[in-house]
Amino acid sequence: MHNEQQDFERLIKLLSIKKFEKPADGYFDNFSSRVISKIENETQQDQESWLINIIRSIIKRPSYAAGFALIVIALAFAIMSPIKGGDIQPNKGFTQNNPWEIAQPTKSASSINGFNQLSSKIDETHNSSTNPVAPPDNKPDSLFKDTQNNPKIFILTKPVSYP
Amino acid sequence: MGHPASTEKNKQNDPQQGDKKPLQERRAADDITLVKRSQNGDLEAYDELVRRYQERIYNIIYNMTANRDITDDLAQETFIKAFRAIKSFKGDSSFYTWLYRIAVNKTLNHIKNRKEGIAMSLNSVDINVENHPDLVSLINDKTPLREINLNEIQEKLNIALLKLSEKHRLVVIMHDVEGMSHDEIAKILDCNSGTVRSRLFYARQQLQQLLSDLLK
Repeated sequence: MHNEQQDFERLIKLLSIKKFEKPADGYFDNFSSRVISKIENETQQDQESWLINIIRSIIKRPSYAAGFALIVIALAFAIMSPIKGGDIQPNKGFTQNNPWEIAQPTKSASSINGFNQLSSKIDETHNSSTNPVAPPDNKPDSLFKDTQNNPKIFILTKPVSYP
Repeated sequence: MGHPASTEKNKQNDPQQGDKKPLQERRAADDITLVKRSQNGDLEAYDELVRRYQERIYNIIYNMTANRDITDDLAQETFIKAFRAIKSFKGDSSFYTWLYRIAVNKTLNHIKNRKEGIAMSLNSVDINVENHPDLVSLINDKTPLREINLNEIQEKLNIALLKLSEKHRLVVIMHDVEGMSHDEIAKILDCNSGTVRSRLFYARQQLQQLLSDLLK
């Protein structure tokens, strides 16, 4: 350690000049008051609401205002678009599971076809007495059967003879 | 300007060390009171803490950056950040060590983020330095220092320091300029004192090479 100090003795003496580099006279007289006033300002700013900060930044920079307006318009469009869209396929529209799902019109099927598909599905599945569209369980036989088109078939049987 | 962080060297040489220690302890106790008041939002107490440590914090930042404008900003930011974080100060180390650590980290981050490097903007050297025994002895030794004026020496010294890596510059400044002990530096830099010693040795070697024309 002692040798180390001796080796660098001249360097350490030279480095002592650094201790004498000082800021301008009076620099430290108001240093603490500058720090404290900055802390006070920052604390005050923190207490102001975030909304005021947004409004302030919008006023300061017009580009922010334009950006904000664009966001509002885009949001408005996003909300309005499912209401404006006309061709909603009935069986692919708002579903029970996801009411916010936006219906997409299909390219091939028209709305009438879609309705037909719906009614046929009801025929197949809903056959309760309260459903007027449902087919009856037991269809009565027709009183006016077409016997000509459906002739009775008689099969004549003969005993087989073996020579 | 005082350098109350006493070095091991100073401890050995200073006969009044016994008188200084109670003063330091009293100051530390005072610090704790002021810190507690500051933690409750008392800005007057914090103002007192700023006054106590402003010069030392300023010096470490200035000696690391060699730029007075950057130092002004960073020193203020250090105290502002310390106030914001003061509630998290648990007293595991002294307030000074904790504050110093903030200053050092802030300075190192600033240096790293400035890829283009920092231009020197030096404070003027106190005229009394010419009577300082260390410099007087250097000049009397018939060195090239006799022919160079003080501002030139200051500039060459700062250029050489800026050529060191941050970790080496930091250690040599803390020890040889600020007069801190190896252990104090180790606490602040969160490493062991062996690392501090080896960094100091390497930094001095580098400086000696860089300043060889002044130290012949």
